[in-house]
This record gives sequence, C-alpha cells and structure tokens, in this order.
Amino acid sequence: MEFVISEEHRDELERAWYELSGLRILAAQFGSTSPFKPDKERYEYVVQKMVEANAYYQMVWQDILRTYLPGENLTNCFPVCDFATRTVTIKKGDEEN
Amino acid sequence: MVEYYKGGKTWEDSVRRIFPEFADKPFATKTITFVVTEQCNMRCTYCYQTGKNNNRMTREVAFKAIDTILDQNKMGGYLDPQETPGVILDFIGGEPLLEIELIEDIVDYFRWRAFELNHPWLDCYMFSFSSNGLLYFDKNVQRFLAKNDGRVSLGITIDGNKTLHDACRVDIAGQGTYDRVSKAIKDLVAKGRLKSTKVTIAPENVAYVKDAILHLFDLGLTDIHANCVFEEGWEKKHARELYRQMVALADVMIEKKLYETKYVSLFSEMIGQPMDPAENGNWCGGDGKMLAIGPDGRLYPCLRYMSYSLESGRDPLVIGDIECGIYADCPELDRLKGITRRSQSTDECFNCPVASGCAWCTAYNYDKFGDFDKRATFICVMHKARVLANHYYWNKLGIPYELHLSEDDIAWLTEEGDEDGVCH
Repeated sequence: MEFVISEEHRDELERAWYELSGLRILAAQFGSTSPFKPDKERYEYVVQKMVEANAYYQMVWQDILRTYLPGENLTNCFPVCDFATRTVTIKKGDEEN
Repeated sequence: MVEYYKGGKTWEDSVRRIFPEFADKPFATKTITFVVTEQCNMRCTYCYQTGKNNNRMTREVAFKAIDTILDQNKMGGYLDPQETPGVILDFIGGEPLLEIELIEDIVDYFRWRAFELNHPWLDCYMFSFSSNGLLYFDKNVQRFLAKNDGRVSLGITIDGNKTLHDACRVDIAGQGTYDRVSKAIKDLVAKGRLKSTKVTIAPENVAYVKDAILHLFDLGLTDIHANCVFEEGWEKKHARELYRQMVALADVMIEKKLYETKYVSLFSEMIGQPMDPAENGNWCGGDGKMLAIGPDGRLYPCLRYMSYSLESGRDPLVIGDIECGIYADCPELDRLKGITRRSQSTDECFNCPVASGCAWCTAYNYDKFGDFDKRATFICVMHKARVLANHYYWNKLGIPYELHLSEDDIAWLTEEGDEDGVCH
C-alpha cells in the first residue's frame, strides 16, 4: 500500500527521524568500547534523549497514519517514507527484511 | 508546459527544509575537507593530483584538527556554527577509503568532542566521501557505512560505460576498473544509498558521453552531474564532438521520455544566457567558502591549493594550521575574498552573451597563472558546444530557449568532417 503525504508532514517526519537517528548513532558509540565517549552518567543522558526522540518519532507517524489511513488496522505493519518523493509504503512485518 | 525532473536535492537543501530556522543563512552548511592520504590505488589519466605520494594524516593531526575547527577563537569567523549551522566533514585523498580506520576514529572523536562542548554541529552533520569505489566491499568500509547509516554520503566516481570508464580510470597496474566499480555502484543503488554520480569529461573521453550517461541510467542512477575539466587541452574538434554527443543524448532523452525521471546537469535552461553585470559573485567555492586540512595539519581554502594538486610547482596556498587556526594576518585570504566575476574576467568574458553557466576554478587559475584572480578560459569552446546543444534539447522538448551564440560560433560548432576523428 502506498500514498503520498504533504510537504508539512514529510518535513516533520524527516526532522523527527533525523534527530532520532543521530541520537541512536551517538548512543551506540557511547555504549561501545570506543575510547571516544563520556562518563556513564552522560551516556545515560544520551540514552534518555534517544528514548524521548523515539517516542516523538512514533507520535508523528501515528498522526500521519490517522490522517491518511483513518480506521485502517495496521497491526503487524510498518510504514516507510521516501523523503524525496514523500511516498509512504506500508509493509507487512514479514516483509521487513 | 512539459514537466521534467530537475534532479534531487542536496543535503544543504534538506537542512534548510527540515530546519526552517536556518533558511535565512547564506550557507546552511559548510564543507571541511580532510585530506587523509595523498596516495591512491588508481592512476586516472586526467587526475589533477599529479603529486601522489605516501603522505597520510596521523591520528594526532586529525584530532587536533577537530579540536581547532570546533574552537571559535581559532577559526576567526572563517567557520561559525551560528552562521553555518550544518557541517559536512568530507574525506578525500588520493583515495580516502585507504584510510577507513583513521576516518572512523575521526568521526567518533568529532561526535564525542561536539557532545562534550555542546557544539551545534552535533545536531547537524554529515560525512561525505569521494571515492573510486575499489575498496567499497572491504569489511571495515561496510562496518563504517552501517554504523553511520543516514549520516554518510558516499559518492563513487564512474565515467559511464566500460569503454569510457576504462579509457581513463585505470588502477596502478594500468588495468581498467569498470567491473569492480560498477559492482559497488549496483550495491549502493540497490540499498537506496546512491542516486547520483559525477562524470568528468576530458578530451580522452568526450566521444563517449552519450553512451556513458545512458549506461549510468541503466545502472539505476537518476542524477548525473557531468562537467568538462578546466585544464588546457580542449580544441574545437572536442567541442564539436560534445555537441554531437549531447544532441544524440537529447534525442534519446526525449524519445524515451527519460526527462521525466532522469537528470543530466549538462542540460539546463539557465545556462548560455547573458549575465547582468550585477551578478558579480565568484562562482567557485575555493575563495574562502571551504576549508581543507592537509595530512601535515596545514589549512587551505581548497585541496586544489595543496602541493600535490598544483601541477605548476607553485607554492601551496596556506591560510592556517591546526595549532594556530586561521592566520589572523593572511593577505592571500583577503585577496581571495575580494575575487569577483568582474575582477577575474576579461571584458570579452564578462560581457559574453552566453556567460551564464560557464564555470571556473579559482585554484586552477592560481596553478596556471600564479594569480587566482585571472580566469582560465580553456573550457570556453566546450561551454559554447553545451549551449548550442541545450538550444536543440529545450526547443525539441517544447520549452523556449533563446540562443545567444554568434553565427560564427554556430558555424564552427556544426562544421562537419571530423566525426570520427576524436578519441576513438
């Protein structure tokens, strides 16, 4: 299933994704064996920020899905957005990989 | 009106879009180039880096460089995160993937220091590579790409089909590299990580331009940025060949409606028009808009001012170092910032009726003439060929395009007789 979202929805989603992906990379680095990482307390702060960014990202998705697919049962489905074309593709869970 | 694909957006365009608070900045992003090695595993015939050697950046130099670029006191306004909220750390060589482990340490160190300093660039950064692709499948390269997914722009240069690519892009043993490079491109395209590439047009390969670009479309690429080299060596016969190639390409683009989904930078409605004298900026970024850091820790306005890029043997143009940052007293930097289209052009160039879209390289001007404020014009004939071909393309597509070339220029560009005499 595919549909095209508005520029405003795309921009909000892309910004949320951008912030989340940056924090994921940072948390992975700071939680690894890399010598380039802060102390434990500041690492946990990054993880907390990542959890909050993830919650916001999911909230933006829910808003988009409610707008474009009201009433649809999307259990076991996940959406993917091509930011260049603003096209959202809904994939089934077993299509993920 | 015919609708046509205008090409994908740059990362800077994306930054302006998703961070509207940056929209009014003259430069939303700035590029800092790390020359991590001056060695390469290829020997392309047209490469401007004529002084390949074993100089490589050490970790000590790289980390000090990061500390310096994040320190406003040392950058003297040259790099200001309040003015340019996004940064691109660009890794180049030689071949940068020869130093992938060093690069991984550099980016990890950058993130850590930016985090500790609460630096704005932590929220808005990208890493880019200009690679020949030979090491793409190396396990360390693949690990780096996975680890930094979403923050890496990996450009792999391919000059088109096997004939064109292998004509110039050979390895140290002199063997063509097409088969290895195209495999890497296909993998990147399949993963959705690559849509564009650049094609460098030189006298040796101009006769293959059409087939090359169509082949790149076949590989799955959609945006092709093609340009002629600035260096001396272009003749009218090459321009006639480029014109013929572009007309043939235009025919295919229109016949197969490729213009709806594919972009070739050679075709642009904006080029070949007279320019208002008020349009007086220096098109090239090598005048203080960029920063390059050499393996020895010296700072340059662009990597083409480094010794290994200067064919003439002139002194490199150094504007700072990683200890001091940008030099407070640097007359060359002041001169660079003063370059305009007017200051570097002859009257003929400045008032050229097809001036728009004609490019130059400030560092090449320095290399060629010892004066970065004097414009080399070797590509003039190629620009005129491009303009005439654009007239053909846009009018055939039904989009009005006014031609300002002289009758003399049109006559020599369309002269027949040397169709089989170039580069075959």
